[in-house]
Amino acid sequence: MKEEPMTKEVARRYLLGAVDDLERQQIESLFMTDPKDQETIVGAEEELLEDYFEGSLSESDLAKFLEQYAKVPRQQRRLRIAAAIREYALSEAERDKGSPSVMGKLRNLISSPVLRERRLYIPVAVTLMVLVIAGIWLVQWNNQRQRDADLRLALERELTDLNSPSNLNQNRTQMLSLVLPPVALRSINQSSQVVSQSAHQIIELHLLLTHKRESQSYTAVLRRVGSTDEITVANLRAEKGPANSVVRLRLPSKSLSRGHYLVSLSGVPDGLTQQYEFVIAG
Amino acid sequence: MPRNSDFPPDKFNDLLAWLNPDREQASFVYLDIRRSLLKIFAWNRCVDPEGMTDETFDRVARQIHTLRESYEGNPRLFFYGVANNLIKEYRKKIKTHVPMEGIELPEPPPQEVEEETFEKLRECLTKCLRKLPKDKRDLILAYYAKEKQAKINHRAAIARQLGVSIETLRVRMLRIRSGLEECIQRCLDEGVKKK
Repeated sequence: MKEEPMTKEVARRYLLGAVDDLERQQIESLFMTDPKDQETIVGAEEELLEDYFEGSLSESDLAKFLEQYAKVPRQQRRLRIAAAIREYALSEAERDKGSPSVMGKLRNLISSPVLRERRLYIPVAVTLMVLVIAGIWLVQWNNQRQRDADLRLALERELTDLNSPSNLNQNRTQMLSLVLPPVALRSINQSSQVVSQSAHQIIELHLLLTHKRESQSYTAVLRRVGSTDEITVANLRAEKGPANSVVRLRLPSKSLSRGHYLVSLSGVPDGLTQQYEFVIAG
Repeated sequence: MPRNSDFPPDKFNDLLAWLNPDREQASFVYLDIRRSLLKIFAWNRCVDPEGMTDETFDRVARQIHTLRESYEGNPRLFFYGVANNLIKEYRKKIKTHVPMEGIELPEPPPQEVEEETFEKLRECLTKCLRKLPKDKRDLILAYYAKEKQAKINHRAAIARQLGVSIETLRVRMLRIRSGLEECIQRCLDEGVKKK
């Protein structure tokens, strides 16, 4: 079998399906028998998943990754679980950050008996300065958040306008249409749709509906995996397609960065929800 | 012990004895081989890694008497040899499969359209996180609390706090995550069965 020790690079190539059959067998034999090599491969897989979720895979690696990890329903599910764990941890961390701990600590410090000790004046003054700087940073951070919220609001307005019935009837140049079946647990094997946003101004998603009953209207929530930001577009209507009804959703490509996107489409007022996914490759 | 195949208990006992004379050690080896095979089948994009892992054990068990008498070498490699044959058979089968692209498929019956909604996934995730001991839950949430460049310093700080190397931290975290993922898979499967 193989003489050389397993490296992360070799493991990564294997995981992306970029090794020949002989090398595959050698790597798998090592994986079965050598705990150190096992650790290397599992570690490489972890890094690969993180690169994918953070959108830092190169275009060719992304294509290989999707071929290896998003083609089989079982694998797609594993990917969704891994994404959910990361998103949950990120949102928990975000929530913790928002707690008023800085102000609370400041109040406690001011009222504490520590201030009565003269020898502690300098450390206390330094701490207070740090807290003031942190306060300024917090204000700036809040302003930035407000700016981000304004931008998101503007984007949602643009999306509402773009997806109004009158605008949907207009054919646009430089528009790419993408038919997306819902992500289903035990349905037809369907890989993620991959598109490049740079070539088109608008991406029009055709979200296929599998529910027998159509809702009065639909609300779509778009989210990039790894981000907690969501964009909501309401008042979408179902249209008759060749086989299934579809809901069309137009997105300006400038608002999409590279990564894995999830769309949650809910019927109003019945609340029936279907999920869709696609990938922006660059 | 989680086994879904149906070979007789005496063969299963023989198989364990072949893996290690100590039954407890043999169970660990069995589970380790099982986990490794599951990963290998998944990396080879096999649709049903669990089923193929069971089939590997079945095939080995059928030869267990001969193996115990005459096989010399690491049993793990024998398991891998059988698994590799299965992968080759699977690939051959896939090649002869006619692609369905462009063919209009009938709408599946409603009971088969089991959608794995984010809500259901989130529900299973919170349920399984609650089952984890607090230190493990805190560790996995802390480990994934940061992204990109920030995560490197963050994880180094966690490792320092725990007094372990970053590599050890990663292995520890991977074990926790793997258990958590299995719990979520089971929870989702149960949700499907109930419906």
